Amino acid sequence: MNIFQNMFKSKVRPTQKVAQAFDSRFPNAISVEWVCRNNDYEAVFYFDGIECIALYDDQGNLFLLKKNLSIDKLPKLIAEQSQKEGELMNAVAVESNQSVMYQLIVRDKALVRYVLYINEAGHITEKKTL
Amino acid sequence: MSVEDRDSTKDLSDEMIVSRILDSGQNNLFAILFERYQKKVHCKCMSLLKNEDLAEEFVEEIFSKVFENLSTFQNRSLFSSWLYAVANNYCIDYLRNKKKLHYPNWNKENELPDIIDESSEDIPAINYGDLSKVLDLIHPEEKALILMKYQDGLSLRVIGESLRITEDAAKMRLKRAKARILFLYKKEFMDRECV
Repeated sequence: MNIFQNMFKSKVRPTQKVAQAFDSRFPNAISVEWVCRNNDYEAVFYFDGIECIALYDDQGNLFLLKKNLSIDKLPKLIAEQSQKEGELMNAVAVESNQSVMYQLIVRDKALVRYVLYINEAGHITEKKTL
Repeated sequence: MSVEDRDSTKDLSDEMIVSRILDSGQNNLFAILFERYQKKVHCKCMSLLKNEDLAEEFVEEIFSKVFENLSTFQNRSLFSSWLYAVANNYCIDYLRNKKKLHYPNWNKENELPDIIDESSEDIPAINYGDLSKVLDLIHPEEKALILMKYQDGLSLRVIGESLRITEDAAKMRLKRAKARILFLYKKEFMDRECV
C-alpha cells in the first residue's frame, strides 16, 4: 500500500455500542477515522462541513465533542477576549458536561504563539506558550 | 575520525550515538548522524522552501540547532523523528515569519467546494510523482502535516509541538489537508481522464 492509500486507510473500528451511538448522533458524518486509546474511542470526522473530534467511552457514551470554528463565527465575547491577547489563528469549541470551553491559538506581535482556554463567561482559565 | 573508529561506530544506532556524545563527549560522532540524514533533511527543506540555496543553508542551521539541543532529546521517540520535527519547525517558522504565509487567511480564501467522503472512495495507488504534484498545490503547513504524519510517522502530539499548534488543531488540519488532497487529486488526475 503506498503513501496515498495509507493516508485514507481506516485502521480501527469501534465497538458496536460506540458505532451505534456515533451514527445516531452524527447520521451524516463523513470521512470518519477512529483511534482507540485506553478503551476510549476517538473519531475525527466531517459533520455539516466542519472538522469535529468526538470521544466515547467503551459503553458508547459521548464525553467530549470538539468542533472547529471559523474565526468569524466565534461568539463576540470570546473573540473580544482573545483579541486582547493577540491575533487569533485557530478556534475550537470543546463541549463536555453541557458546558462549552473555547480552545484558541493566538499569536502576539512578536509572533509568539499561545493556546488560550476561555469559558463561556469569557474568562481565560489557562494560557500556555506553544 | 580514523578509519578504525568509523568502522566501529558506523553500525551504532542513532540513539546510541546520541548517548555517547552526551555521556562521553564524543562530539565527533555527530558527523555520522549528519551523513546519515543530511540528504533527507535537505529533501524536506527543498520540499517546503522550493529554493536550493536556502535549503542548503537551512540544512546546516538545522543540524547546528540539533547539536546544540542534543541534551533535550529524551529518547521518547526515534532520533530521526525528533530531527524531522526540528527541520519542519525551522522551515515553517521561516515561511510564517519571513514569507508572511498566513494559514488562516489562505484557508478562508481556499475553502473546499466539495468534501469527498474518503471512506466511500476507492482510493487508487497513485505514484509519488503525482502525489508530489498535488502536495505542491496545497499550503506548505498542510503539506508539512501530511508528510510528517504519513512519511515520517510522527505522532500528532509531536506534529502539534513542531508546528506550534495544539494536538486538536493538528488533527483537524490534517483532516482538512486530506480532504483537499483527495479533491485536488480527483480534479487534476481523475476527472481529466474522463474528458
